[in-house]
Amino acid sequence: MNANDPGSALYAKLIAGTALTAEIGGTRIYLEQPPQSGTLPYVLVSRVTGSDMYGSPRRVRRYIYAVKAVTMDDLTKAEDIDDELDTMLYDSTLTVTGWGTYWLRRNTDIAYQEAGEGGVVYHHRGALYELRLSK
Amino acid sequence: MAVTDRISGKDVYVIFNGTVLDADFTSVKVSEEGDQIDVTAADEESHYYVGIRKDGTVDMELFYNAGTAQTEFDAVAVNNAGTLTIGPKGTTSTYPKLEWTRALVKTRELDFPFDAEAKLTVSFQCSSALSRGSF
Repeated sequence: MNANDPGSALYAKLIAGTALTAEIGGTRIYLEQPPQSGTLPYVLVSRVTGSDMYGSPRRVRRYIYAVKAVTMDDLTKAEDIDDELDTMLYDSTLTVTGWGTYWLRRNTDIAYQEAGEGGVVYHHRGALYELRLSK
Repeated sequence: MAVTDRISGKDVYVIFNGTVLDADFTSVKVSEEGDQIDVTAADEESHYYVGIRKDGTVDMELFYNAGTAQTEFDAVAVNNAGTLTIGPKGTTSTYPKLEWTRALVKTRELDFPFDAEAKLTVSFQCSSALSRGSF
């Protein structure tokens, strides 16, 4: 498994979600880095940590992914997208070749604002999701 | 002098009654004890004990995997009896081997915590002498 495969699997799952893309108003879902001139709103999927869990002879990988919506001057939209992300990801499974998903759960909320040029406010809403894969 | 003979549990091999149990184990513990008789004479200042019968147990914890074939679970049904062999370092020729020609399954437990992996715990009652040899 390539270290980026779980992120790609998350991306593939989200991009296939019609309710999510309808909420975003397009397919603006990005893995690791949004484009510099990214239109808002968008969803960003980024790996925070990845580690092996040495509990038994079977190999287990544990990942933390940040999955969040970013909007401009629209907190409600950010929260609605976050709700849809939660619906799609909580206790769901991912397709990662050679590995089985046995844990995908929301751990910690992401909720903050940042001020932009011209007085705009960017809203970040989402969560850290914990993913466990076993061979 | 470099320490080259210290081991961890990562290579432990366990086979009971023909079924290998170590594919997804988390721990194995071997315990031995002896019955002791106090034969202290009335005028002695300290107790004096004599060792007689020996006894032993082997406790093992595995991840419980809910596949169609419940091979490990079925192999450790309560009161099943058979030969129990442990290879602390694996089964390579000349590596140490611990063996009881007869052991019985004393307890079999399943634990399903909401927030963690399911575990299968088995306790073997040894019913023969422990022989220490090599593969």
